[in-house]
Amino acid sequence: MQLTDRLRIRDSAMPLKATSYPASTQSLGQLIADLDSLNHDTEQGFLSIGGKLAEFMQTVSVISSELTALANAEHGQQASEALTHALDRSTKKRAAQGNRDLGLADMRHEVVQLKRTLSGFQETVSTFRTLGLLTRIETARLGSTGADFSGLADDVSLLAGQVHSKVTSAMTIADSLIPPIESAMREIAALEAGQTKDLPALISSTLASLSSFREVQDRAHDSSDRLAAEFGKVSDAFKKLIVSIQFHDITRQQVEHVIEVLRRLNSEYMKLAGNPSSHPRGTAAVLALQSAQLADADKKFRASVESVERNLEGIAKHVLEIADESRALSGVRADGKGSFFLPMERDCGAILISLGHTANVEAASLATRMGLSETIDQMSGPIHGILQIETKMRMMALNARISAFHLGADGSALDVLAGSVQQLASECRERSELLVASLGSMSEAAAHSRGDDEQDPGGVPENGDGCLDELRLSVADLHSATERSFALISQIVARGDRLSEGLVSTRKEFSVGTLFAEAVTRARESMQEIGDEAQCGLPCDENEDPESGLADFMSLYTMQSEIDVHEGVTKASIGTMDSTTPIEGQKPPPGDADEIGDNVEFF
Amino acid sequence: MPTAAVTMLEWTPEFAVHVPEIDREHQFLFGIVNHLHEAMLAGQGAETLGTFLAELAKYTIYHFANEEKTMVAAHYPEMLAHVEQHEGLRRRVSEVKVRFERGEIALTIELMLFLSDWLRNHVTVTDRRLGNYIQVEQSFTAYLDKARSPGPAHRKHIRAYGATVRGG
Repeated sequence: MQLTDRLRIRDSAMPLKATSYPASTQSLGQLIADLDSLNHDTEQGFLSIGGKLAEFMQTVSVISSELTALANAEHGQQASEALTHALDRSTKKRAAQGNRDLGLADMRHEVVQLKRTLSGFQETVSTFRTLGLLTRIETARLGSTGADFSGLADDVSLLAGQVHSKVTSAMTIADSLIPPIESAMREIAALEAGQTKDLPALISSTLASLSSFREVQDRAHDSSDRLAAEFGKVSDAFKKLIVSIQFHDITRQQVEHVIEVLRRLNSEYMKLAGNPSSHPRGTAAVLALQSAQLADADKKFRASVESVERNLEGIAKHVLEIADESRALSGVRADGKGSFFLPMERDCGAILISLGHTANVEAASLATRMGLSETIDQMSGPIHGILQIETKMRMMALNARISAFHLGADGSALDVLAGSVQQLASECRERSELLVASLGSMSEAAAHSRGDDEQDPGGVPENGDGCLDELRLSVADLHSATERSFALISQIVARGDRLSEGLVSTRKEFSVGTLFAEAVTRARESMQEIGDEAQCGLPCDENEDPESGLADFMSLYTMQSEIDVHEGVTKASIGTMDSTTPIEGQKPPPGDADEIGDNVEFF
Repeated sequence: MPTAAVTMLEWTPEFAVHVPEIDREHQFLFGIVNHLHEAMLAGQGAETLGTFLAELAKYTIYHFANEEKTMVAAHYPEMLAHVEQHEGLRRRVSEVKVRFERGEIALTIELMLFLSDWLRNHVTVTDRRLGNYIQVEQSFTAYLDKARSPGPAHRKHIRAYGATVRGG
C-alpha cells in the first residue's frame, strides 16, 4: 500500500482527540504516526528493490556464463573435419566410380561379344541339322551296308537340338543381362552426379557456413570478454545500488531520532493536560532542530534515491547493449524473420537428404551388381553344357569316320559327313571356349563394378554406406550443435531483453523518493505550525536560553551528520533560522553511495 | 534462480485477448513451443521433432476449432480472414511433418523462427481483434439481457401500475 493511501486511511480512522489535551498533542501524535509510517514504507520500498536487485545480479551472472559457454563450445570443429574428409573422400570416390563405370562398360561389351558368339551357334545348329538329314539319306542309300550308321542321324539331330536348347538358354540369359547393366550404369552416373557434384557443392557451402559460424564463435568469445568487463561494471553498479539502499538506514535512524524527540515533547504536552494553551519550554527550538534534522535526512534520502535511479538506468543501458550484441550474434534480422543459422540448417538438411538418397541409390546399385553376378553364374550352366555336347559330337564323329573307313569306297560319303560333324564340333569347342573366357571376363567386371577389389582411401575397405553413415552422423552432430547455439543465443537475447525491461520497470516503480519528500514537507509544515503556535502561546522568555534542553538530544545521535545539524542549529538563531536551507558548515549530503563519509562509522 | 532455460515465448499480459478459454489455450501453445526450445538447448531438437510436430498439429487443430466455434457463435465478421490464417499455419505444420517423415530432420531453427513470429503476430493482432469483438459482444448481450429482464424497482413499478389499473 502506498504511504499516501495509508495516511488517508489512518486519518479517516483516527478518533477525535479529547478536548482536555492541547491541539498540539494531537498534531504531534499525527506527526509521529506519519513519520513511523514513512520509515516503514521506505523500508519496504528498499527491501523490494533489494530483492529485485539480487535477482537481476543472478540474471547478469547467468547471461555471462551462457556467453562463455557459447564462446567455448567446440561447435563445428569436429563436423568441419568430417566434412573436409568427406569432400576429399568424395573426390577419390569420383575416380573409383569412374572405374566402376568402366567395369560395367567392359561387362556390357563382353555381353555383346557373348551374344555374338552365341549367334554363331545358330548356324552351327543349322549345319548340324543338315548333316543329320544328309546322314539319314546316305544311310538309306547304303541299305543294309550302312546298318552301323542307322543311329548316327538320330544322334546328330538330338545333339543339334541340345545345342540349340543350350544356346537359346544362354542367349536368353545374356539378353537379360543387358538392361540391369545399363540400369547399373545409369545409377552409377546418378551417384556420380550426386556424390561428386551436388554433394561436394553442398559440403563446400556448409563449410563456408561453418567458417561464418566460427566467426560468430569468435565474436561470442570477444563479446564474452567484453561482457566480463561490462559485468564488472554492472557488478560495481549493483554494489553501489546496494550501498545506496543501505544508506537508507542512515536516514531511517535520523527519522527515528526525530520521532523519539517528538515523543518526548508529546509527553511534556501531556503533563500540561490541565492547561491546553500552555506549551513546554523550548518547544519551538526543539521543533526547529527536528525540522532541520528532517531536512537533512530528506537531502540525504534524495541523493540516495537519485543514485539508485542513476545506477538502475546505467545498468539497464549496459544490459540493453549486451542484448543487442547477442542479437547481432544470432544474425537475426531486425524483422526477426531471418537468421544466420537458417542457411546453415538448410545446408545440413540438404546434405542429409543427399546422403540418404545416395545411400539408397548405392544400395540399389549394389543389389543390381550382385544380381548381375548371379545371372552370370546362371549362364555358365548352358555354356558348359554346350562344351559337353561338343565332346559327345567329336566322339560320335570319330566313331562314324572309323565305321566309314571299314566300308571302304561305299563309306566315303559318310566319311565326308562325319568329318564335317567333327569339324563343326571343333568350331563348337572354339566358340564354347570363347564363351567361357567371356564369362570369366564378365565375372571379373562384375566384381570390379561391386568394388570388391577396392580399398578405402584411408585404408579401410569400402563397406557399402559405412562412410555415408559416418558423414551423416557428423552432419547431424553439426546441426545439433547449430540448433543448440541458436537456442542459447536466443535465450541470452531473451534474458537480456527481460532484464532490461525489468530494470526500466523497477526504475519507474521506484517512487519512495517522492513519497519521502512529500512526507518530510508535510511533517516540517506541521512542526512549523506547532512551533509558531508555541511561540505565540508562550512568549519566549528573554532570559531563556534557546539551547536549553537541546543538549540532551546529543545522546540520541549515532551519526556525524546529526551532530553537524545539531551544532549548526544551536549556533544559529533558532527563531530566525530557515530550516529548509543547508546549514552552514554542514557537510553536503552524499551524491553517491560511496560518499557516505563519516556517517558509516556510527554503524 | 534464473539458471534454467528461459521461456522463449513468455505469455505476458500483452498477449492476453481477454477471453479466458482462448488465453488458456494460447498459454498451452506457447508451452509446446517452449518445450522445443528446451530440446534445442539440449541439442536434441531432431530427436523430439516428431513428438513436437504431432503435438503441435493436434493442439492447433483443437485450439483453432475452438476459436472458429467461438467466431461462428459470435457471428464474427472477420472470420474468413482469421480462418485463412489458421489454414496457413495448419498447411505449414503439415508440410513440415511431411518433410520430417521423408527424413528431413534439420528443421528446428526454421520452425522455431516461423512459429515464434507467427504466434506473436497472430495472437497480438488477429486474436486480439477477435477478443475485443467478443468482449464488446458480451457486454452488449448482457445489456440486452438486463433490458429484457426488469430489475426489482422496475417490477415494483409494474406491480403498482397493475394495482392502479385493477383498482381503477
